[in-house]
Formats: sequence, C-alpha cells, structure tokens
Amino acid sequence: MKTRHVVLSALLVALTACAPNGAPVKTENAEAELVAARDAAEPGRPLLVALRLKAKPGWHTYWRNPGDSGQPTSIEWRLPAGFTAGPIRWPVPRRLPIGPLANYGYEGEVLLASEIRVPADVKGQVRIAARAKWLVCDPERCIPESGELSLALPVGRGGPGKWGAAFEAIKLPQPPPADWKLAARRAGDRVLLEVTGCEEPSLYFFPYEEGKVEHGATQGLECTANGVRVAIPVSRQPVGEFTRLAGILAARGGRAYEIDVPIAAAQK
Amino acid sequence: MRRLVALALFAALPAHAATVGAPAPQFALESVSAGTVKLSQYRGKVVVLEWVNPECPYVRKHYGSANMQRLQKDTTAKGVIWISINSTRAGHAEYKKPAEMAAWMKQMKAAPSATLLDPQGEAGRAYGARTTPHMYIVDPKGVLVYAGGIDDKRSTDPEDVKGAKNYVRAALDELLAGKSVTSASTSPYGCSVKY
Repeated sequence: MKTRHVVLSALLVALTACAPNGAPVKTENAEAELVAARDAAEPGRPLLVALRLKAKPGWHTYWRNPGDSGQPTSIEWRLPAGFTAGPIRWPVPRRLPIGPLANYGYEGEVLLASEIRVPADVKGQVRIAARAKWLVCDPERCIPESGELSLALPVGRGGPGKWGAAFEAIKLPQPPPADWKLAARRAGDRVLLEVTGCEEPSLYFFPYEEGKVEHGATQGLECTANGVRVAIPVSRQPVGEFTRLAGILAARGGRAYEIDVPIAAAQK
Repeated sequence: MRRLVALALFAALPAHAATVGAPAPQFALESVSAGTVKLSQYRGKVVVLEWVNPECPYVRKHYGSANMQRLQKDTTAKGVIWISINSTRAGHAEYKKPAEMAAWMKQMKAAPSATLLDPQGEAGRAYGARTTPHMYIVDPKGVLVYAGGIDDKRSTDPEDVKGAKNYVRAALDELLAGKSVTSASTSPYGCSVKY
C-alpha cells in the first residue's frame, strides 16, 4: 500500500518538460515542438506557427471538442511585443470509440497551427515561445502533460523551410461545395441534416460543442432523391439549447466541410 | 444506384439513459464494505452520485486537493446521502477489488455514505456516466435534478479548484433551500469511465 501511495502522489504532479531552444520536448508519452511554415519571419506578414504534437503509438490527443471525455490541447503563447496569435486551426479529427463512448482526437502526430501576426517594424531575430498542455491517452489510461516550447527565427523573406510541406498537408475543414444545400430539423431524439446535391457515401458530423450530440451513438446516413440525409442522435443529457448544427461534416479521405446550419424545430 | 449506408460502430449507451427531470434509474450494487445498496432505500433524501476511479488524474485532482472529501463532509452533515460508484470493469488494469477501493477511500479520508462497485457497468450505463468524475443529484422524490461536472474548470491541476464554480455545491444549496436547480445540466469532464 505504501509503494502505491508514493506512486499516486508522484502522479498528482503534472508532467512538464522543457528542451533547449528549438529542440523537440520529449515527455513520457509524446513529443512536442513549435514549427513554422516558413524559415523566417517576414515583417508585416502573418506567419503560421504550429504545435507539432506526436503521441506515442497507440496514444491520442484531443480535438477542440474532446467528445465524451478528455481535454483539448491548449497553447499559451509567449510572444515578443507587438506580435499576436490567432486561435488554433484545428485539423479534422478522428472519432475514437471507447466502449459505449467516443472521443474526438488525433492518433500519432498532429500540427495545431495558429496565425502569428508579425509587426512591420521587427528586426534581427524573433523568439516565439509557448506553454502547451495536452492530455494524452491510450484506451486504458490518461496522462496530463505539458511542455515549454520555443522557436527562434531570423527576420526576412525566407522560404517554405523544413516544415512547409507538413503545413501544406494539414487537413483543415473547407467551406461546403457551392452546389450543396444544407437544412437541418429536429425529429424526436435526432437532428436530421439534409444535404441536397451531395453524393458522399459517408458523412459524419463532429459538433464543435459538447452536450449537443450523443458522441458514442451511431449517426445514420441514407440516400434521398437528390442528396443524403444524416441522422444525428441528440445528447440525452443536453447542455444548453441545441439550435444550430455547428461543426465539421467529415467525408471519406480526409475531406471535411465546416458547417453552421440552424435547426428547425420538430413539426407538431 | 446509391447505397444505403449505416455506420454500425460500437453499441452506444442505452436509449433510456437518465434524463434530468425524469425519475432516476434504480440500481442495486455491492458496497465495498457491507452488502448491497439500493438507490430506493434512500427515498425521501437528497442523493448525490459520484462516479469515481482512483487511477484517473481528474479524480486525483479533486481528492488530492481534498475538494471532493470536503463536499462529502459538508453535505452529508446536512443529511444528504453521498454514493461514490466505481464502474471500472473487472479485468481492466485500473479495476479495484472491494478491499482495494475501500482502502483508497480510507487513505483519502473520503466521507461518502457508501462506496459501490459496478464492474458490469450497469448503473454507469443507466445514468449515461461518461467521465470520472461525473456527478448526479437525485431529489427526495427520486427525480434526477442534476447531471454534469463537479465544477467549471476542466483541468487536472489541483490549483484550479480555487476559483472554480462548484456546480454540485451550488445545486445542493438550492435544493436544500427548497429552490429548483439553476444549472441542472453541465458538461462533465474527466477520464472516460472504463466500461
């Protein structure tokens, strides 16, 4: 019992790691570093900088809505004066079933990019730093981890650099095709999303907010005369009103569309 | 011809999972110390249900900071029944045998009215318990009046207990004052229940 007590106490302290300038931080279950889309910071031009977070094989980190449990990765930027950072541009997540529950997240490596505004009068070298926190889990356990990260870049025009291709490969949700028509209505314990003009053989709706959709339940998909209908089970313990389908509609092959569709009330 | 596609993945939680405003699902589970405990035996009392797993960092936040024990002591002193339930399946690496679970609760100086094991996950599924902790409150008439998180600071950092809005304490204060619960449904946060 005594040994166990010591182990528990040790685990109460979150695992934080630091690394020398620019090197990836290695924690027990992940590797993290800041990477930039270009190899220099150009004065007056926005620059994409990402937290590259790689969970070890079989482990995952979380999307902005983690699903039934877990916690989204967070980035607290430490930027030079005059610099500002935009929100995380969350790549399309995966649905990770766990028993009757489901999480939304990333297995293996993910690049969580933010747009950094670089002031016009910057000179010399810039140092971009951040404290990142993530929960990393396998199907059996969860470990909170964090890292102090930094990245030094020369000021100048620069080029795509080492990570340019990786940024190009980030799968972000796109606006839906112009010929799609989206409409949603409440039907009992489901929301029916009609996607007219769509021929996708598979669609899954990832809600941005918790407490709206039953993450662990199967979403139905059926063909209609001129499109598809997604039947989305509503949360049985809803939090707040469910008035809009706001989130990502993910198709096969990593294609995904950002949608925000008002939900019409059930017909009486 | 287009195909009809159904995404058959995992069996979800049951369709009749507990709903705020409806009668709370009944259960009968083995206590870690003495015999079977039924929800029905506490009819006429306010009952708090706490889903717990000693191996979860979110649970350790609230026990390591004594937040959960403080709430247990404060509310049971006012006649509230507090039931801690561990729904970790037998065979899971984090499963605790009755004696182990009892020892952990004792070590934490926890003060629930009962600590129950639910290795089949029946009570957990009936309540739709997704996380540890996941909190529920049943009123004296047996109606579920709260489902959700312990508080509004999703983190594993014990420091965050200070300054967090404790939804369970707020709901119990309202309930014991004869008022209805203002925030009756909130987002639970934590580790997944290990069904």
